[in-house]
Amino acid sequence: MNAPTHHPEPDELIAYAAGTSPEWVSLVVACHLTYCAECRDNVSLFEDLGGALLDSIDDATGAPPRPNLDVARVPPASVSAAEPRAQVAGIPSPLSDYFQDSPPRWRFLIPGLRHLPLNFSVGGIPARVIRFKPGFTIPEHRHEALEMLLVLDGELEDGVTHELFRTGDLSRREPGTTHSQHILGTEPCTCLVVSAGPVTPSSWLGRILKAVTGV
Amino acid sequence: MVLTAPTPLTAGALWSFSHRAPWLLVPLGPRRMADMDRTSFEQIFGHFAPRVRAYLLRQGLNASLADEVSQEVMLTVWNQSERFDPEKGSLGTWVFTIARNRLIDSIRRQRRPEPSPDDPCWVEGREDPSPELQAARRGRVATLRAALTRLPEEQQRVLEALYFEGLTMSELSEKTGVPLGTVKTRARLALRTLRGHVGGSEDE
Repeated sequence: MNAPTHHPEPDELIAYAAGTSPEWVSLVVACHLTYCAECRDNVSLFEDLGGALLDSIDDATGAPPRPNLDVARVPPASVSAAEPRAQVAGIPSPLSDYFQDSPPRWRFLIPGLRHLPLNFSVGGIPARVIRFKPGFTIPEHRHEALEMLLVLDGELEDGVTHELFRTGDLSRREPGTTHSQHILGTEPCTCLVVSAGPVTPSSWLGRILKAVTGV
Repeated sequence: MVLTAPTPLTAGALWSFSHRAPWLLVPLGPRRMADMDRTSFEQIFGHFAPRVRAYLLRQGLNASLADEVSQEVMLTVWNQSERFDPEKGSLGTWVFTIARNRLIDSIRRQRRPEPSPDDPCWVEGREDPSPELQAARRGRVATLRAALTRLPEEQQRVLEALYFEGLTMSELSEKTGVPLGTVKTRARLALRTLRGHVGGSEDE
């Protein structure tokens, strides 16, 4: 598989390493990292930078009370003891904590569109994993807030810039931008879509789609 | 300097070597923290507990909460010492990630999704560190630490705000009145310099 070519911004990787990004951005970044060794390498550098900054604090005054080590030491929980997490083929594991259905299942939205509902929303707008059939076109729409779309499988083309997005590629839509997307190839395309604000369809078709699907 | 073999070599002794002179770790071979004893924990506590507490104070916790959470973080270091492998990373980074995760989990009540190498979707890349590269990286935190002190003050300030005050670049710009573009440029320059010191690629 080719390495992703569309990455999160350096700020977003630093914020992920520093632990300051909102959960929804961390979720998208963690899914991207599953596919992208280059960004994993950067995050590891940024975590080392966190370690170096922590180590550089030289004006610390006062330490916390010492913990009682006699009662404290417990064997670390073994990995196998952890509850097995739900897995869906082709869906990266950071999403496993967020499936709405147990067991998770694909739900029908409209012909050509299925989704895996997630227990997660940003400002009342649910995050979704959407599976588009080949040839599907997402009609032109305008983003009122930042949207992140991460391709998990398949291939799509941006209708305005004609850039290609494949597995692991992140498409960021800045507030106030308008675009459309087209699913390429003969395989379905699966995407994680998270918006920080509403999307306004530009066409009648888009409005009908939005009314029917809520997407 | 003559290294008369201190036997047995405790993780604590290793830690103090690695902290002051990371290259000393190289000839010592693989050694885990599994045998962390009370003396070595005392050393680690003495160094990191005040720093973790200061980190939490800068993140906006009050003194009593910072005491409580930093104590929990140090307890996690003691309880999970088996999980720390000095071959794979530095103690400072490990303590930092524990403190960061505790802050997100207990204080912000959020999750922090992380990728897993066991995930069937995981894609290996040529950037994934080889054992040789990992060995070379053991000294990376010490290198970064030294390089940080030589950065211009305004660049240090941006990094501290991002890591310690939980601010985004736009929030830092609003708070300080420095234009967002300038904040971003300072962060980019700082990263380029730091990357140069640790031998990473400088193109970003």
